[in-house]
Amino acid sequence: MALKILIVDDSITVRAVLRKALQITDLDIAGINEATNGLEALEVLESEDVDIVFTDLVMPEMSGERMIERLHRDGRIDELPVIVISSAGGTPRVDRLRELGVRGFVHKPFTPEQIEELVVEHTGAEV
Amino acid sequence: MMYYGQEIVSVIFLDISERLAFMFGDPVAKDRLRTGGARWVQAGVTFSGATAGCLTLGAPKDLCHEIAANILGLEPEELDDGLMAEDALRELLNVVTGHVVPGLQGEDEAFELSVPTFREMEDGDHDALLQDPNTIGYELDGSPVLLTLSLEADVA
Repeated sequence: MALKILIVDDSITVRAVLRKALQITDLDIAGINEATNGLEALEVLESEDVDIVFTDLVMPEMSGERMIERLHRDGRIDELPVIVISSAGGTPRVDRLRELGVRGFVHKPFTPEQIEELVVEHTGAEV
Repeated sequence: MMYYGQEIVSVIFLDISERLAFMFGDPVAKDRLRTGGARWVQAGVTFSGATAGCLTLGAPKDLCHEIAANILGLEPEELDDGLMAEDALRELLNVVTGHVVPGLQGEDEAFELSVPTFREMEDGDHDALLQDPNTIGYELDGSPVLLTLSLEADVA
């Protein structure tokens, strides 16, 4: 199954690095969409099929946390793996995000190997 | 002499610079830094939690291009425009701050970070930073940088 991936981060640098990291893995990727905040991400999710979401937390307009709360409230997060990649954190915050249904948490900086492992674990993709 | 928190900041800054931007550095006495003759920029992130304050990173504009290129695995001249360089400095500081705050207050405390800011430094800003006891000077791949940790009173 070729994967459709959504990257949500206000940093053009992080989006580019994550895209590159995904592309150098052995994952079969059908497409990568990008959004610069939670609101844009929700719009993408309305119109596109997505297999896994990588999201930052601290973003203007709508934070990753608000987006995750929305996906949790709509019940959508049960079907859609969401991985947080962020500098913000602290154990209580990570615990709360897991309660909301977040599948994984990566503290920046990340490696392509970490990303590949998370995609395989949470989508069932084969490499 | 380093003040409270500066040892933590120093170790983390150098570690993240190496892991994220593949750049190597050392602390340098501020009076030995060559800060003149270049346009400088500064990124800033505020944080709040059991510890609150602000971390800023000042650097020559040319160094930001190198940081961006290294993070992205490109040559500096391959970057589209200055926006990528600006964003790279903000992101480097963002990641550093995300490690500094748990280092200061412990992993078990929640904390918030602001969206990183960016500005062009003005004449006189260097002198203010060089005289600020909260500022640490470094050479990063041979370029001077100024990292400043300002802590508010204990808010816990």
